[in-house]
Amino acid sequence: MALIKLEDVTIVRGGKEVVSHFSARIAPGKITAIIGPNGSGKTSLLSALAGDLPIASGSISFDGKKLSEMSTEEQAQIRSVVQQNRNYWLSYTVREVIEMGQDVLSLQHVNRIMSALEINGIADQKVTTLSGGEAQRIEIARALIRDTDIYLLDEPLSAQDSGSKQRIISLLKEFRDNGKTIVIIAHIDKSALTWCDQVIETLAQQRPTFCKTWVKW
Amino acid sequence: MRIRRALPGILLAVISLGALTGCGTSQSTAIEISTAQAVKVSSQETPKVHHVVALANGASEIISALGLKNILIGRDIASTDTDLKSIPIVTSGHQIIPEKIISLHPDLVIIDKSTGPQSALDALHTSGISVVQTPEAWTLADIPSKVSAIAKVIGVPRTGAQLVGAMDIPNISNPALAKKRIAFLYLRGGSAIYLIGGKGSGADSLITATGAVDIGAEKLQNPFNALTSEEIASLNPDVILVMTKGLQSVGGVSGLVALPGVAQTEAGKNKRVIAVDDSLLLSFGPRTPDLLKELSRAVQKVSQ
Amino acid sequence: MIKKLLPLLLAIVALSLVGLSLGATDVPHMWRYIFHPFLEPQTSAHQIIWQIRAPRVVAALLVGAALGITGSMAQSSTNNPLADPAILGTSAGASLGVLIGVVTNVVTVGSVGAVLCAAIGALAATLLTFSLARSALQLITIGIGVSAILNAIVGLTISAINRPEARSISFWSFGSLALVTPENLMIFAPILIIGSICAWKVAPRLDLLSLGDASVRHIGFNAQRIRLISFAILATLVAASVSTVGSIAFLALAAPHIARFIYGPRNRTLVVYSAAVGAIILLLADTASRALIPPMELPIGLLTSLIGAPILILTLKRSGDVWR
Repeated sequence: MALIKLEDVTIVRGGKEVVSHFSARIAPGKITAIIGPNGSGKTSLLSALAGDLPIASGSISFDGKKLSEMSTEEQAQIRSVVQQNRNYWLSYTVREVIEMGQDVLSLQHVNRIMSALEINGIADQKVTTLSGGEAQRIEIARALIRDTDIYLLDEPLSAQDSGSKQRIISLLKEFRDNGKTIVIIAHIDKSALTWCDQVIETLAQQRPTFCKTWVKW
Repeated sequence: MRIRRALPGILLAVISLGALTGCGTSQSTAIEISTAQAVKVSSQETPKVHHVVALANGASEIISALGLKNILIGRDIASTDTDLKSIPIVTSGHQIIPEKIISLHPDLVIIDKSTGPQSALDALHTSGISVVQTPEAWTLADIPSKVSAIAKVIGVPRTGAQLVGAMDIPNISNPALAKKRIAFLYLRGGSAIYLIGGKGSGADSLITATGAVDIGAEKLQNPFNALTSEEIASLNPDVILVMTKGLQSVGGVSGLVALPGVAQTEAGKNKRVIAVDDSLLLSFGPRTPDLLKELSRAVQKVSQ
Repeated sequence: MIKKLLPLLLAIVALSLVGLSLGATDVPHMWRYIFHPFLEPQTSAHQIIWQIRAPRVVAALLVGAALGITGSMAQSSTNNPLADPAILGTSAGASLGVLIGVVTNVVTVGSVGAVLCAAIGALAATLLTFSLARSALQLITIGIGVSAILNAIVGLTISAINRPEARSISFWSFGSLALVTPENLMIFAPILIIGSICAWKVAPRLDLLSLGDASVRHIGFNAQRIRLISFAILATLVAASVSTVGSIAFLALAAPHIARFIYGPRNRTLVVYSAAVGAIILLLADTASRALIPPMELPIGLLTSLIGAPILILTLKRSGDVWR
């Protein structure tokens, strides 16, 4: 169980403040969705949580430990990331990509995740021949086979049909029931997010400002 | 872990290869000839020119040997006789520098067939400088005519004849060396191709005069011929003759005898190498008689 | 992997025999001497086959393997199919290292010391490129710049100074196996072995780089450190190759592409297959250089280009699904 605390976070990108004095607590063991229109700072927020983007002021902490004081390895042990864009350009197989860089894996566990995401059938196919939806699920698999307290997913459902969406959602719920903290970014309507426990909505105005409103279902 | 298993196999192969090559006997019998005495005469005549730039191969030496060093105001880079040190060099490598020559205001510039480039010579002609070409000498027999021509051109023909007389080439042919097979190698740094001197390289004339056999001249028609390592190994000379700078460029005697091809020859295995100073070997001038004596001694010594 | 490796190994053995049998001179009873390596070591027949040709065959295999591995590592670590140690500044650094060593009279050409100077130069140049570059693409562009500068310094220095030994360094810009001695190989072989083992060990990390630096970071690895380690390994292999036989064009670029086309992009297998393909190409090129118009020897760089380039173009045309 890990509590993610954001205190007075400001993120500057290209000279502009994309996130402005944002504070929030992301509940542990819950699924939290960050939604909002384009340009309102969602992806920057997730990148900051992932440790990819430095924050200009404020602090982010996981269970009391500051992100800025954690090494790359420590961060990797706490959280897993699913990125939004995926372009594969070398013809590894699906299984090779999923297992890349991950040392100790139980084959059973990997297969389970892969079949839950319906990619076990294409395990030996070359990743350069995949559709956008399949590639996205590969990325999700890469993160979900890791055993970390936190999972950060950037738009994991954008390229999926409704059947796939359901499968992914039920997998995420399963992880949540096992005590994992899940944060997703979604570009969809509030009404479609009943499966999330907590929703943070970002609003953009003329000056890109981050407004904090969060709704608890 | 395939690679780890192959390790001992690979090491074994490499070591066996090393063992196969065997070692040559390593007596260090390389000989260097760096200087030779120049024959000199003193001139009773007055030369008709007083400011001479000598660019023909060996011309500065000959003028100095005629006792007329004082009329020399410029020389080429190949004339390295210590006697001539004070005379300015007017070439860059083997290319003449027209501005330098013109600025010296010479009465005469002596060239031969190999002086160049043509554009520099044209520049000299255009500026009105007198340029005369003298014959080259690539064999011992040509030396007299080269000396006479140069003497004539500067106006001291009788002194020239005197010098020719003093330079009488001794008969140094040694029947004991009749079976010695010598190869003249022209070396310029590590290169896949060796240049071996053939007929007309100049060295053939010298080698033959000592009584030994120039195997390059025996088999090859051109003054310089390209040979691969395998061919050198088959040719198998007893002694190798090189020029000093060339020897340095391959890392000295130890570098030379390590070269594939040379390493397999009699000369390479026994380190029988004679190195002669670059400007001395093919100078075909006043130092050549003494060079021949030294060369004969060297071949004898190296063959023991 | 053994099944796929077998045809390559057979090709290597066959080509080695061909390499021993061809050359500038005709050796009588050649096959007898080839199959009895210890027969009559004093005859010129034995010497030509085992002291002149055999070192070249072994050199072609070892150097070809080394260059194949360096090419695969350069391409994988920079995520760029155009990467080649010559482009990254490594080969130029090696030449400059030896030049400085020779000019300051610290080492002589061809000695162990020269290999060390080459290695220091290669590593320094590679580190220079590395420290100036901020991304994988910049590694290539800055590497080209660094190569150009260092090569120019080497060329100008050789022209300006009047030392005969320095001229032998310019032979390195052309590359040739003709001057390889068994002693050179005994120094080279252990370096190759250690380098290959290190390459093998770092290979899975190189796979990871293809997913992008962010993905690498997310699972706790440092992309630049992986690149640095790869560069150190490849700089060492390049330095050893350049000081043994000079710069050989194209091989490091072509061999990994061919290996990748046939065997896929997994770096563990790529290390082995690039080595094998590199060895085969260099052996073919060297044998051709000696045997096409005997007794002339054709420059080996031209032959590796001639053999490597068409195969490279062909594989790139067919391999739509290997690189995008």
